[in-house]
Amino acid sequence: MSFLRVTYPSSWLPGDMAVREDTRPRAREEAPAAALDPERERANAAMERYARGEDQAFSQLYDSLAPRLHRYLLRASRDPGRADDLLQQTMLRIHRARGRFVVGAEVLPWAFAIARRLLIDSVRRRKNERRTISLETGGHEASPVEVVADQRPADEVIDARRLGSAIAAEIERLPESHRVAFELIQRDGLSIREAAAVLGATPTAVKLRAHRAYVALRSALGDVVDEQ
Amino acid sequence: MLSPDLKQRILAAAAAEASPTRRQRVVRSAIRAASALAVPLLLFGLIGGARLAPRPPWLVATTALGTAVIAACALSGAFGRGPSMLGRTRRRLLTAAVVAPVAFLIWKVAASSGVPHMMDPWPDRPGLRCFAVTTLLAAWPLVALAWEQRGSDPVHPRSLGLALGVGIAAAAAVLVDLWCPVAHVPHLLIGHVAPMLLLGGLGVMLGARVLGVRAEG
Repeated sequence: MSFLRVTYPSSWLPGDMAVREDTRPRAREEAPAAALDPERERANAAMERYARGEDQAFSQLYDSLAPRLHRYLLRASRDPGRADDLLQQTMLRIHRARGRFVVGAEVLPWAFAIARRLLIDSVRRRKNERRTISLETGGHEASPVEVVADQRPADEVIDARRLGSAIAAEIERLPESHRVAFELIQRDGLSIREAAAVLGATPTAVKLRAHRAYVALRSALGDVVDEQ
Repeated sequence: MLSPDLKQRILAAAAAEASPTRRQRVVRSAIRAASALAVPLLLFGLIGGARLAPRPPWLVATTALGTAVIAACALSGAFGRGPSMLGRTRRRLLTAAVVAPVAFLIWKVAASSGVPHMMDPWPDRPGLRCFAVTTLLAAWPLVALAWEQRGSDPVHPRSLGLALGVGIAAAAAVLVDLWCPVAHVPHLLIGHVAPMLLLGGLGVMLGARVLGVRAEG
């Protein structure tokens, strides 16, 4: 059976776009995110063991954190080599700071904050080289809507791809602050509080930015869905 | 996609670089904190230590105790991480940095104004010596504690540096308060509050260069 894998909850997707929606709980602002996500629990447990001196835990920590961080860095930098480099730097920062890890703290928002800071710093450094890099823009992740199995009629596949491109294009059109807040929450699975901590903003501001992004996307994509 | 090579490279790089565990770090932090405390106390002893006269001892104790509480609040605002690895919010750090000097001034004036002659001007003490002593006492702790926290703040290192500078200057103001009998407001502003602002400014600079997370290469 073919289906579309949608990386956003259907609550903001217009109409019947969300054939199979993300099942993450929506009220993440209040709920402790780690309790909802086994991968995050594994990451926290691995970090705690690593902070206590169990060196083997770093490999498990890598397995839990690296895919998400790499996806984020790739999306933001559009450069696989640089994403690899920044992932390495992020993991080494975590390694160096393991003794400072607070008992019971969440490792994921911290890791994202380090990755984001390294990315911004690296972009600033490379400005001298006059490379055109736009921060936090969607790139190698082809689109939020992924065709998992293409056994459907060709026109459906084409429609799905068109829709995916439209979503990616609309996300790129969002103001950066709105886009970053939206992506940290919807794509990277952070709670509103965690995204606020990563961005150094208040939860209210982040909630507002993400909501505005959602409204803009919903309004822009409504026409596309209607056509289809 | 993540390549297995990348994982191996990162694991090898981490294995090649020693990093202290939590227990080792606690020991190192305790040593740094002890030096951050010992050096100003030594300097304070060298400049003559506490001078009570002409203030009544209870007034000295009251103002020093109040200043110590203010410094402790400011430092806990700057150092405390709470249950998160991302530290205090920017708002909280800025609040600590703004409230500490204001609270110190209000406390000092409120405590001294009830005692005759304590608020009188001292023409030969405009506050420059107090300014120099506060700055001198706070300099080493600021450097030592900023080094202790180096590369630890990926979100708002400048705000952290500001709160750190002001908090450490407020702690130095406790010692200076034991030493300086003047509570004339212009003297307090120049000799006691201005160093907090100066150290806060130095903290901002240290924050950008030392406390923040910076990319390599």
